[in-house]
Amino acid sequence: MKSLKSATMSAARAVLKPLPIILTVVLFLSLISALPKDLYTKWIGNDPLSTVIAAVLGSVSAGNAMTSYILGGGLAKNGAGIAAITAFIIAWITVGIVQMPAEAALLGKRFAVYRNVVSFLFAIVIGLLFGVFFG
Amino acid sequence: MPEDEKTHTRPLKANKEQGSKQKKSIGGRKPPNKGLKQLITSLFLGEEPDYRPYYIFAVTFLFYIGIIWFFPSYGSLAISKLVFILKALVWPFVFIFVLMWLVDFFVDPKQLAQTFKAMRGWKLWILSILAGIISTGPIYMWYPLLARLKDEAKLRTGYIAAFLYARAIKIPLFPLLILYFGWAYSLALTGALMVFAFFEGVVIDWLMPETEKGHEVGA
Repeated sequence: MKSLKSATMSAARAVLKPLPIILTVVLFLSLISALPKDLYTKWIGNDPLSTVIAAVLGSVSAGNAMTSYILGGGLAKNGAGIAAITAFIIAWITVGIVQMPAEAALLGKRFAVYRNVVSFLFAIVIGLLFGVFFG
Repeated sequence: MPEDEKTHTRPLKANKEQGSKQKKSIGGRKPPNKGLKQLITSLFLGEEPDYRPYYIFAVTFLFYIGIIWFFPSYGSLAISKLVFILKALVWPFVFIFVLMWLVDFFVDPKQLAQTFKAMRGWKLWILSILAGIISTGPIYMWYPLLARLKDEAKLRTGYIAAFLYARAIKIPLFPLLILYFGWAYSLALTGALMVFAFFEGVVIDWLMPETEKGHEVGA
């Protein structure tokens, strides 16, 4: 067990050192969150290609998971397929292109790239599976 | 100055310098300003100062200012989003700090590595996925803690990937998901995310080279 001072210093260092990277991510997040939401409905439809487009749009988007559900609901009303909606929601939550610099700096570049690529592919796979079962 | 005076002044100066050095090192204490500077440097830059993240932040900040300058209506919306995100960050930030402090104070990394080693296999997969489901706050706030678990407690990257993937399951937002997509879809999506969190961990473990796996645990 460490001393009180040592533990406090160590925890403070671990939280404060990545602060510039986290703030950089936050700046980008705010720019992406302010993009017009009708951008998504223009691109996502009810064809297999839409599943890939939806996964791409979900990957580059950022924000609360709640926003992805609301946007997904909006996409469903506009006639988007369940495969595309599922891929969009999953990519939104699991792929973090905006957060990638922070992830790479702290967990390693290779890990960040592999994790995001695999998450992106899984979003399409789950989307297509849901298209089969719920479409 | 006569030669004899010169020879007298040199030892005097030397004595003065020595005296001031002795004063500085009384009780092994450093002057307060230097200590504070060292503390701040150590907290924000670490043991080996790296300024690159600060340069990246500065460039991004200038880019941000440029966006606000050239697209004022979009910029004002982005600023309101920025304020919202920063406000939402405060509590997760405090939570992560407390969690890291608790880990630092009560947990010995070697002991934790041993615990992980004892738990390896399906128990650790389940723990990683459950921890991901119940974890709160933005994903990037968890990176420092995960980095320490990887480096100090030798936690395998596969478990970290499973934890991060399982964060897609949002229990508090489950009613909203049901409201938009119904019970069957919501339950199926949750189940699929749990299963694929495990798959993600396995695939990442397979892809990562041995040297970057945190290979002492679960190997």
